[in-house]
Amino acid sequence: MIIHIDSLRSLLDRPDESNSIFVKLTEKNPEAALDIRKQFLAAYANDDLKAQTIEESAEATLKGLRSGISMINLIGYFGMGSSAFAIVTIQMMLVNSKTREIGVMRAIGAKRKDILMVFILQGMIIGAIGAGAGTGIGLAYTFST
Amino acid sequence: MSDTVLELQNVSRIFGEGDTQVKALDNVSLSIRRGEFVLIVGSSGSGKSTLLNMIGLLDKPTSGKVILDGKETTALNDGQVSQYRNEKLGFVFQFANLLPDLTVLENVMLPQQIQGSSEDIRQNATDLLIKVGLEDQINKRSNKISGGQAQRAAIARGLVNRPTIVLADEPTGNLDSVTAGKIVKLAKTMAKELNQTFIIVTHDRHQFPDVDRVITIKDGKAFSGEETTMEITA
Ligand SMILES: Nc1ncnc2c1ncn2[C@@H]1O[C@H](COP(=O)(O)OP(=O)(O)OP(=O)(O)O)[C@@H](O)[C@H]1O
Ligand SMILES: [Mg+2]
Repeated sequence: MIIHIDSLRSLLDRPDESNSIFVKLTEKNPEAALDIRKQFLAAYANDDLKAQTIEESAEATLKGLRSGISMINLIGYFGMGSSAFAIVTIQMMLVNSKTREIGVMRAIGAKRKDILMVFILQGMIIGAIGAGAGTGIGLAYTFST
Repeated sequence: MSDTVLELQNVSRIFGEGDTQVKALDNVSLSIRRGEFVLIVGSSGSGKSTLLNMIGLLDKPTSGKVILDGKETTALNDGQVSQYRNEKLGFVFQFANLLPDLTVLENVMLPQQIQGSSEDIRQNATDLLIKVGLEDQINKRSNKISGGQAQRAAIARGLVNRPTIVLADEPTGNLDSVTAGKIVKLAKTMAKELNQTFIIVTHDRHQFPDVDRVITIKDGKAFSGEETTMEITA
């Protein structure tokens, strides 16, 4: 059955939609698809039509998805960056408030390295707790919606 | 083994540069013998703390040599200096400077723990705490004891590694005169009992009536004995 596109549109009550035709090939051959596209465009050279293979049209959708993912990643990186910055700031404040204790430790014979290790370890523990809690909350949120 | 435990040769310490340069120590030479109880006096800003920091290897001289237990120390790296501080020096400061998160006992155990001593660290610390009269305070958090008790604990901590020299910067500066007197007496008793060398910085000569030697610092220069003009201003 062949019907004019405008008749179909009014039949289905979709005046401006249904504006593409999906052509399925019997053989699985991307070369053939390119060939058919070429023939199609040659046949309707004067019309304002667009022809895409399935790969090309998927690519467009994927592109949107990819930019969405990279946006989410960006937010993630930003979050990670700001947490790292926060930890560094907290550690710097801690070091400043502990100058007396650090002095005592130095006088008793603790090496500069040892004291540095204490603060790095502490920062790492804070970071690990934060990451663990963040992952937990994130997963809980994801699976509860 | 030589009787000299500490020797300073032409030690100068200059802070800053150009117009704002301060010569905190000016060509200081001195030597200290084992078991001596030495007092360093001088007015505020004369360079006492700077001198004690040199002896304690907490700071390095701009020029000159610091020889501790027969070894020149100015060329040592941080790890070696830290080990020297741990093994050969004990420190007592004006504010007792116990680590507030630890108990009194843990504070006194710390130097030997850092050293990695194979002795019974807990027993050594306990013995010393009993000697300084703190047997009742051993397991208290160190920010929960009085200033005088904290200073006793600090002395115990300064002695626990049997250092070559115990250094004290204004150890009684934060205490009332009665408590200060007790602390001075304790230090003297320990010095005699353990043949322990003490070098104590104070601006209050009268708190330490009976010492082996007094060194006066004036404008970064060291003088043997006391300067009488200082007595008047003190
Ligand atoms: N880190 C530093 N940077 C710059 N100048 C310093 C520094 N430490 C000390 N000075 C200067 O060196 C001089 C000696 O200071 P020092 O602390 O040794 O004096 P002091 O005799 O211990 O005084 P006080 O009795 O007040 O404790 C002072 O003029 C001081 O301003
Ligand atoms: Mg001082």
